[in-house]
Amino acid sequence: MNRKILVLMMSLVLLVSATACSNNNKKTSSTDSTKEQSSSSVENGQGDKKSNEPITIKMMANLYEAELKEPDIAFLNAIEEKTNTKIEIEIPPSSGYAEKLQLMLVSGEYPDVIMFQTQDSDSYKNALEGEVIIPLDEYLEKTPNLMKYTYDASWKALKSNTDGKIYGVPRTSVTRADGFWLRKDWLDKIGISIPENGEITIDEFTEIMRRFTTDDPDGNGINDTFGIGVFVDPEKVMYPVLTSQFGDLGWQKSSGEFDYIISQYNKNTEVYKKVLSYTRQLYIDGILNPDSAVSDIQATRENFWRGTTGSMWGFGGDYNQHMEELGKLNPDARIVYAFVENENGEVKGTGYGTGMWQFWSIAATCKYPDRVMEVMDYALSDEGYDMLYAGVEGTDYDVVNGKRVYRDDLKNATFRGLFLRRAGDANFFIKPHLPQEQKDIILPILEKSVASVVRSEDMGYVPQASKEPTYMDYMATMAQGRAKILLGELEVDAYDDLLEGWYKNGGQKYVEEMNEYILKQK
Amino acid sequence: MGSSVKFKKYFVSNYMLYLMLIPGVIYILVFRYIPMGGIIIAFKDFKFIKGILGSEWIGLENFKVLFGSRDFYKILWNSLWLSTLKLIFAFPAPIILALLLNEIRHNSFKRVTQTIMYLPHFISWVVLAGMIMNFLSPSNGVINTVIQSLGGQPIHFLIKPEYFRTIIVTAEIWKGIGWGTIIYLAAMTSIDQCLYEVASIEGANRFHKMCYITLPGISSTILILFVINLGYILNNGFEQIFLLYTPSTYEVADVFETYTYRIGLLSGRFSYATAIGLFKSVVGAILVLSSNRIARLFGKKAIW
Repeated sequence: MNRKILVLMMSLVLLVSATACSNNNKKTSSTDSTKEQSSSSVENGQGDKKSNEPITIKMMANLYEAELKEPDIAFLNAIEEKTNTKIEIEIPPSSGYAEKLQLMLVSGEYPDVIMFQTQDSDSYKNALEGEVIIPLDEYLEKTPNLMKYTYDASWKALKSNTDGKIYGVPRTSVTRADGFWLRKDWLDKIGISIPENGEITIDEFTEIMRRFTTDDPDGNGINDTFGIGVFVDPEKVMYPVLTSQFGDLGWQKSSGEFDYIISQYNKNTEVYKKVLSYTRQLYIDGILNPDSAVSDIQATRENFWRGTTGSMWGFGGDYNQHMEELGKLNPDARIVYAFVENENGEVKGTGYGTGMWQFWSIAATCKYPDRVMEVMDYALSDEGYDMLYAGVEGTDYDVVNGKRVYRDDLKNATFRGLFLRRAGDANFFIKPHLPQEQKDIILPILEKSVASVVRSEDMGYVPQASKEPTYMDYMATMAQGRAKILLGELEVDAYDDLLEGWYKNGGQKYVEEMNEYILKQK
Repeated sequence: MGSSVKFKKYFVSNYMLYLMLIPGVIYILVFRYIPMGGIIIAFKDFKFIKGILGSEWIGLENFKVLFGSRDFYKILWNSLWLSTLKLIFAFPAPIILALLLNEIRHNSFKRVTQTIMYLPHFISWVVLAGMIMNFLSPSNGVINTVIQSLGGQPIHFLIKPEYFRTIIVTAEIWKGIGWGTIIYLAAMTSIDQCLYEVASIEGANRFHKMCYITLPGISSTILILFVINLGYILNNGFEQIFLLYTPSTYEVADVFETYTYRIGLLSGRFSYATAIGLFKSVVGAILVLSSNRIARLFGKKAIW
């Protein structure tokens, strides 16, 4: 008898726990509140604005790290004090952010501030369509810092197509065009030096790559090095080694059939074929690491660190990281940065069209949008921006004899890095605690990267034509063709046929829509 | 009448068993049957804001697009061919291994071997794909190092379409062979030991016993598993292909899973992705039902 009762109870327990689980999920929704709820009196901003009660701002953000560390918390505390707010941040797991965003939109319960990833994401379009978020134009008049330190292109990109109003505050991404990191010790070995201004011609670059491959620059007596390694793009086709150097600068004015065109889709110039053919030759000659055809960016970096490849395309601010990783295997490794000039001897590169990386929108349910905007504006004011960049006294640094001394055990400030940024500020990429001699190496590189940018006119816009099934089917064919050309299995001229097919399979509409969009922005 | 009374009696004396069944039934209902309602998405122009029921009804539009797609027949062929190769090579592998394991008489050695062979099953495809890429790397992979030391030229296996299927099938075998033996070894334990004794008396050697007792003894298990596997003929798994294919191998590597991912999920065309899933399930169901019937015609035990 007892056994029967036991079994009965166990099944009941199972049942109850199953239902309990599903309830739990709804209630908590893993709100990673950043700080302990210290004062119980804060009633979700119910209090009158005039009273001194701080208002609560709930944000949902994609931060790559589940928990905020001390530097972020100190920064938020400082901002809260200045703006009389309480900021709560919900951080869904980064890998599932897009899904979480969609679910949040469907649920009907919105945080005050929502971070969207791109202005072309479905979730953002849905939010616009469903009037989940509000236009910010009237508030932007009162936020001089936001206006001053944001690229015009970013505002344009966040303008709604239907009512022409701005629906987000961009997290500005300082637009830059990167060059290449080269192994300095290998260059010394083969007797080539990079000029003071860091600029080399395409031929010089090619010669370096070639000799890195053939001249045993690591001196181990084995022919096991490659000039350069690249990685694959989201379509899994290798990124070409040089692009802007041959005149490929994204969507630019054209005198041809369309007002604006990107060289990849331009039937009238050989620019893109030159781009393909350069990388193709490096691959065929064995100068490009053959692993590049299947490598992701991390694998490519590891090959550079391991001394398999002698150069890689990359961000100038990574100096420290490269030196650290290289030093693990080879303490004598040194690196130097170089920009490759185009055929006219200029350094030019394409930058992100919109100059932003994610952005913040305010939900229609937010009670104090003006206060939210105040907080964001403060973060870009001189005082706020100093904290955003350098951190807070007592947490990130101490002031000794009137000078800032950064702490040794500094932790990453993820939120500070992703909250907001000032446009054009290359200095942001240089961590404040680095020794002066490293700053002196990095800053000129970054300044040049920022100065050499040519902005692509597409503003990150993706034409609706790209969602057509025939177009999408053809993109796989196109990727296949490009890959085969780069790997030397097809002649470069095969690109002409590919491009013709592209125009027939929806490409025509794609370019037309893109032109329409660009002209509307003008 | 009689049978229902009988059942009542049976139920009263065994109700505990039914109670224990409840969680399992609830699980299947909640996670397997109720979501089936979502199939309706395949016939709608699904929009998040409008919800499943509120979205516009578009009938068979998605299926028209699917069957009209220039890539459809290529993908269908790739999916079928890869699955068939897996059925030919990867399906019998654990059977052979189980037969071999069964012949090991040293018990602790047998168990250790089995356990070691289970391990690859627990390695995720992401890790395994990384290992494969390293092994096959033309610059410093083990296999190409061997080829080079024998005087050959390094081969870039992962971008050559002719190697792709071999790589996938080999990886599947390596990953699944040990795990797959479990069910066959279990089936072998149910074979009557007397049969082996009689065979020994009659002078049968080990090979005879394997062919005439063990193999027939597990044949119904093999058949059932084969029928179930046929149902998955259009399923090749997403991760292993996605992680190892490149545009240069699309012509042989693009299967329904990767196509759905590229066309359906990356661009948010959920209705289309659902339509593809439904098509695959229908094909799988037809195959399972027909092969089950064939099995019955041959007088073998079948699932139903």
